[in-house]
Amino acid sequence: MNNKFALFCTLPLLISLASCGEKDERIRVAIGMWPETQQTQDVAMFNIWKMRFETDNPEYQIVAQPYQYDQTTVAANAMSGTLPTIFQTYFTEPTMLIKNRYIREVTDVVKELDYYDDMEPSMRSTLEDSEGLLYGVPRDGYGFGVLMNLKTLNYYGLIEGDYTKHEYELYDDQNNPLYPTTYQQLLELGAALTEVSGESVNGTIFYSANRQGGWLLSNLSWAFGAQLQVQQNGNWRGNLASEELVNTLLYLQELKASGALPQDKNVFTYNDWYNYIGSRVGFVFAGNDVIQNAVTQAQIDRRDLAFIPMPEGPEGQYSLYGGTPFVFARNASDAQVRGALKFLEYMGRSPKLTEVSKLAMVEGKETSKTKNEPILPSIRPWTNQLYNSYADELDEQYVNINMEYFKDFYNTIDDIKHQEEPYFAQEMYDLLDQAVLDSLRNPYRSGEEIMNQLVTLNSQFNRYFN
Amino acid sequence: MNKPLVKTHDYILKRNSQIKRNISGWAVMSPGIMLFAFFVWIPLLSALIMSFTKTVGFQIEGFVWLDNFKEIFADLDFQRAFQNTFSYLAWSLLIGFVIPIVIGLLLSETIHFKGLFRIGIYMPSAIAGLTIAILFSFLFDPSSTGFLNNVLKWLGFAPLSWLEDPDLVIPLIVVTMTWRGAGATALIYLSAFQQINTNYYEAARIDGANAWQRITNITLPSIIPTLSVLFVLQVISVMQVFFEPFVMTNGGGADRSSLSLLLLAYQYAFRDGRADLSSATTLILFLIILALSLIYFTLVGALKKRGYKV
Repeated sequence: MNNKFALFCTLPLLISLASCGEKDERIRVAIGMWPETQQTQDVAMFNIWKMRFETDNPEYQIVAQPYQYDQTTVAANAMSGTLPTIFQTYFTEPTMLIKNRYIREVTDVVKELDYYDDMEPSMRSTLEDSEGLLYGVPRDGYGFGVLMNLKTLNYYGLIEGDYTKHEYELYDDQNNPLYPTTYQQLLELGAALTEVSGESVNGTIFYSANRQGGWLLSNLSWAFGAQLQVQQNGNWRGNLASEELVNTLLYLQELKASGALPQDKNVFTYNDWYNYIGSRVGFVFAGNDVIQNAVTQAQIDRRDLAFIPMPEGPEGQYSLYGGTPFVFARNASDAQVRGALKFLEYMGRSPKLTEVSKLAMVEGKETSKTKNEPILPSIRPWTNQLYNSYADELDEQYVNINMEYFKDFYNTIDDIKHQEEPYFAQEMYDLLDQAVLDSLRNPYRSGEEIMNQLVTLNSQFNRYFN
Repeated sequence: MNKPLVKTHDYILKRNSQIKRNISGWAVMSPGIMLFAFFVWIPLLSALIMSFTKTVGFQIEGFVWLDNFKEIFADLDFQRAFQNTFSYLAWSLLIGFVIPIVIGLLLSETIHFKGLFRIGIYMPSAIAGLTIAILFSFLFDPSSTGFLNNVLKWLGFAPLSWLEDPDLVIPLIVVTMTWRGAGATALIYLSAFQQINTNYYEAARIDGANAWQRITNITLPSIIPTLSVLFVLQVISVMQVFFEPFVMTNGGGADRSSLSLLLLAYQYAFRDGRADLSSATTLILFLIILALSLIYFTLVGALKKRGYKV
């Protein structure tokens, strides 16, 4: 009896000892950008990449951990150590993630793998802190532009062509653009669309909430000559109370008063654009990295889309530009980060052009093609010429939108790109949201009234610098 | 010398048996205590400590004592949220406190299909609050495709801005909250109404009292204890309004017209990564609710002393 009892007591110990022998000693790398289970084609592709990687790097174990970044849960995930080793976030987030130490710096490992110098410098700077430490690598770049629904514009006679054949004329005989190239022309096109459609379709929408109003306004304001942050005696300060920003808001009010914007609703967020571009507006301000939503969410035929550069204002032409990053969990070890960065090569997302990365790049395009997704060129996050030439070759082969309607955006982005304001950008957008919303609600505000509001907002903003 | 020893022996035996008895009691209570400690007391204490510290993310960097409070008092968002929270309270007492009493009265007077009405009235309480908030966002959509604007158009009226109107947003959110919660509260009132002695009503009728006089002189005075408990519960609940403005107005509205203190605390913590400011805000909210509750209990105590049945 006693022997049986002793055996019963020691059984769990024996089992646990036996299982110790089976423990996986490999370095575990959790991949947050792993697709969700229902995306079967993508999962199959990732499994191939995992198999190749683990064969070439037997010391590593790749673990699928699909993770959708969420601002409300990232703190809890970071503090409890449950973030994947590597995950993708929005371009607006690194500053907050770095400040709160939810992600780890990876400078040395990135340098060790020779990725650092191949990184597009302006994208790299958005992922660095004030001491020059790097906290991520860019997936790809984004730039603001104007996405046009050519079918709607053609239907109401504002763009030449034939929407039944998906053919449109965006250039004249001398190859000059027929689309709006200035903010004034954009306003006129929007107002005309509202008028000819009998107000059933508006020109566009202007974001005004969730800090996205300030975000878009900042892009417009650069074209009106505004400098939203300036250095005074070596210290950075907010400069929201400026004539240039007043002029930008006056333009916004003109946009509203002219009828180019919806008259009955003023609160819009960035997620609204794909609810409106289908049949309710002619064009929207958007980043090139989300254009596919026009097809997948708004159900627009990809042949009816054009993406043109941000228009020119009185003081220049600018497009807000940045990189969509991959970042790393704060509790990830150097070895895990090294593994995650190496895995990017097997996804075709590192600057290294090897047989395996070439294969992955082709597989990525093929999968998108099979899924009938719009395939667009991307803004390259790396400066490696070999890599970029190969990516260009693949673009030529796989891009399935009419590049005639997109080419000017990609040709001009390098000349007109402008990075986000350097300090407290999110807090600044939050304050500017109020100015945007007030201008939309009351499009007949005088410049003096706007300036009074901006003075108040600027003093609030400068509290952050103090 | 012996006597005290016997006494001590008895005492030890008694104590041991008490301990034995208590051990089983503590054993039964310990899971509950541990859960309470883990989910209530520790977070409460952490929030209290954090409100006096500087944090990076959720990690404490050092004590700053009252600096967080100074910072939030200087923040226009806090000032706006403070005002709004009391505005929610006022509208809630105006709309949300009266309507369940009226519904309860109507239910108590209903003769036919009483069960059906009771279920119908209670039904919104069984729907998830988030679903209701989203549903009402569609109803209050200010665009031409909004449901209520189409009704207004059909009736020949001009469309309204609904949730985009800073003057309307809080009352509309309170209407949404009331729609959801009034049924359950009305059933509590109904139960209270049914406990009133019907002899009072018969006597009142004989004396020639009309319906209004019966309500004001018999019904309402008889349910004062229920009224006062539901009043204080409503105050506590409304002061913590959170997800309705969060869902219905994109996180409190760009102009902060519907921002509440709890929503601001959430934004400080999860949007701005400022757990310290968030904790300070919730501490202030806690103190406000505590103060209101103390005022209520003091008033109730004073009324009881004067012989009122409260």
